[in-house]
Amino acid sequence: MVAIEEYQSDAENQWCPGCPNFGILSALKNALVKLAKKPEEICLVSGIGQAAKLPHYLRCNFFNGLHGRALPVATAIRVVNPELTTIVVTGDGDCYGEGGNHFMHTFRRNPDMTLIVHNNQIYGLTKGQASPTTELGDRTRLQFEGVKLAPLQPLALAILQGCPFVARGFAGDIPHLSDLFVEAIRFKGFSYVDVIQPCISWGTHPVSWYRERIYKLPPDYNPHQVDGALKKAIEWGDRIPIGILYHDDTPRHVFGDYFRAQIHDGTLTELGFPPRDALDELLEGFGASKLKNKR
Amino acid sequence: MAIGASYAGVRAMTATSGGGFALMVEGISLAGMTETPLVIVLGQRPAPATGLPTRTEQGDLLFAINAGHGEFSKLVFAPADPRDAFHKIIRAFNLADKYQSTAIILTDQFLADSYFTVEQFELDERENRLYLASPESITDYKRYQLTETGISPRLYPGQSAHLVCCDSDEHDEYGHITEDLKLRSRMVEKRLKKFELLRSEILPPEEKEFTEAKDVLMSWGSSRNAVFEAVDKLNGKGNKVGALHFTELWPLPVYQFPSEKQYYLVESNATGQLGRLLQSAFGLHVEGRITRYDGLPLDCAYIMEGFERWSR
Ligand SMILES: Cc1ncc(C[n+]2csc(CCOP(=O)(O)OP(=O)(O)O)c2C)c(N)n1
Ligand code: SF4
Ligand SMILES: [Mg+2]
Repeated sequence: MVAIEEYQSDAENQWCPGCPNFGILSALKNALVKLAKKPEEICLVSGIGQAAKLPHYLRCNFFNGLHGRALPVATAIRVVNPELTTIVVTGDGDCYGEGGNHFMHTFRRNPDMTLIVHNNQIYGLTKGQASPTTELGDRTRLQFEGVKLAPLQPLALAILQGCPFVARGFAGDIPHLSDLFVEAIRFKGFSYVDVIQPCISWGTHPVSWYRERIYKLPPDYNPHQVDGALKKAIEWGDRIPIGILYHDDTPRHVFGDYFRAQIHDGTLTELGFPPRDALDELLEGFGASKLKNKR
Repeated sequence: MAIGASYAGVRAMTATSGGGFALMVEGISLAGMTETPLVIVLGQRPAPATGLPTRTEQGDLLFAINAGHGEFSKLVFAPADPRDAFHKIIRAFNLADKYQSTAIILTDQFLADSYFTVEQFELDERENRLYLASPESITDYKRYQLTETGISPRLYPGQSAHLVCCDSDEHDEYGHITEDLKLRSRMVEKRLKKFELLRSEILPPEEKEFTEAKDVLMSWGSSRNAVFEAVDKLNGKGNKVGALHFTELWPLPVYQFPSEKQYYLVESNATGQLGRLLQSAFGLHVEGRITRYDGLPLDCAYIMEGFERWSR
C-alpha cells in the first residue's frame, strides 16, 4: 500500500493555473497508487517543455534531460535496472519534433517502459509555436497565416512500427486516464499513451472543442487488429476516440533482456567489479600470455 | 544511453568518431550539468565533415577540450599506444567516477586500426570503484549538495529509499529546477571547483632525453613511438634533441617549461593544436612546427626530415 500523499513534491509548480497537465499528474499518481509503487521504485525521465517538468511535481527518482532525448536515457535506465518502473513524460514538441528519431527507434527496441506524451498540439513552454501535431490551417503565435504542413500521425506511426501498446487518453477524464496508465505500466514491453491535453494559454482549440468530440472506444472494440487500430489512430475531427487502440500480446524481444541473460539476470548494479583473477583470465583470453609462456 | 546507464548506477562508455561525436556534443553538456560520469572514446580521423574517413589525423584536440555548450570540467586523455590505452581507460573511468565528469579518450585511426605485438598487460590498478556515497549515512539526500570540493554525494536510483533527482536545467541541491540566481552562481562555481582538484591528479608529460636537450619535440597521443625513435636517430647524428610527450591533456598538468630550450611541435594536424593550447596556458614560445595532415600517420622519417628543415 502506498498513500497518494507520498508522491507530494515540494517543488513549486510552474504550470498555468487550471492547465489540464494537472489532470495528467493526478491520473499518474492514481495509477502508481493502484500499482503500489513506492517513490524509490519509480524513475521518471523527461526532456524539455511544460510536460517535461512533470517529474518535479511527483516525488520519485527522476532524470530531466535534454529536449527530445528522454527515450534513450530511459531505455538505458531500464536495461540497467529492470526493477525500476521507468516512465517517460514528454510533450508533442519534445517527443514528435526534436525527439522524432528516438520515438521511431524505441518502438523497434521495445524496452519495458512507458511513454506518456502530453499532446497539446503546441509548443507551450516557448509560448505557442506550432508543433508537429498542430492541425493544418491552425493559426498560432508564429504561424499567423495558419500552419502549412500536414500534422504527423504519431499513433498510426507507432502501430505501423510495431509498438505493442498504443493508447490515447484525455487529460479531462482522469478516471479513464488513470486506468490507461495502469494498463500501460503493467504491460511487458513498450507502452505508449498519447494524452490529449488542451493548452489553455496557447492552444488552437478550447477545452470544450475536445470534450464535444471525444468518445470512449466501445467494449466490443478489438485492439488486436492492426487495420482497425490504424483507422482509430487517424480518426480526428468530428469524433476522436480514446482508449487502448492497439494491443499486441504476442511475445517478442524486450530490449536489454538478451544482454542481461548473457551476464546477469537482475539489476546490473548488483554485479560490482569482477574479482582480480577473473580479470587476469580475461586478459589471458587475448592470447598474449600463451606466447609469453612459450618463451 | 550511456548517460542513462551511468545515472542508473553502472559504468558506461561510448565510442565514436568525428561526425558522431559532433552530433552528440549536446550530451556532453548534459553529462556536465547533471554531473553524470561518462567515458567517451573519440577516434579521430581527417575532417571537416566526412573528410578522409579511412585515414588518420589528430585534428580534434581543441574540439574535444571545448566540446559542450557552457562551462564545466571534463578530462581529455590521448593514449600513446595500446598498453597506454589499456591503463589510461581504467584511469579515465576512475577519475570520471570520482569527479562525476566526462572523460574523453582521444585515439585516432592510426592507433585504433593498427596491429601491435605486446607483452601481456599487467593489471596494476589497485583502486577501482564508483565513488558512491553510502545511503545509510545520509538522512536528507541532496544529489547536488554544495561541498568544499564541489563533489557531491552520488547515489543511484533504487539503491535505497533516497531519491536521486537530476536535471539539465539549473537546479538546487535536490536536483529541482531553480531560477534562484544566487544559487545559479554557486552551482557554476561548484561544477568548476571540481576541476581544480582534478588538475592536481593529472600526470605531467613524459620526458625523453630532456635534461640534456637543446631542442625539444612536443607531441601528444599516438605519435609517441615515432617521436621517440626520431629523437634517438637525430641524437645519433649529433643533435641534442629531447621530447616531451603529452597523454593527459585536459586539465593541463602542472608543469614548468625550462626556458633555455627551444620547443618544436610534432602534430598530426595543420594548425598545431597542442601548441595553441600551451601558448595560451603557459605562454610558451614555439620555435617551429612539424605538422602532417595528409591522412598518413606521423613516422620517424617524416619527423626527422621536418626537424632538419627547421634546424638548418
Ligand atoms: C535543443 C533544444 N531546442 C529547442 C529548445 C527550446 N524548447 C524548449 S521547450 C520546446 C518545445 C516544447 O514543446 P512540447 O514538448 O510540446 O512541450 P509543452 O511545453 O507544450 O508541454 C522548445 C522548442 C530547447 N530547450 N532545446
Ligand atoms: S502553457 Fe499551456 S500546456 Fe503549458 S502549463 Fe500553460 S496551459 Fe498548460
Ligand atoms: Mg506541447
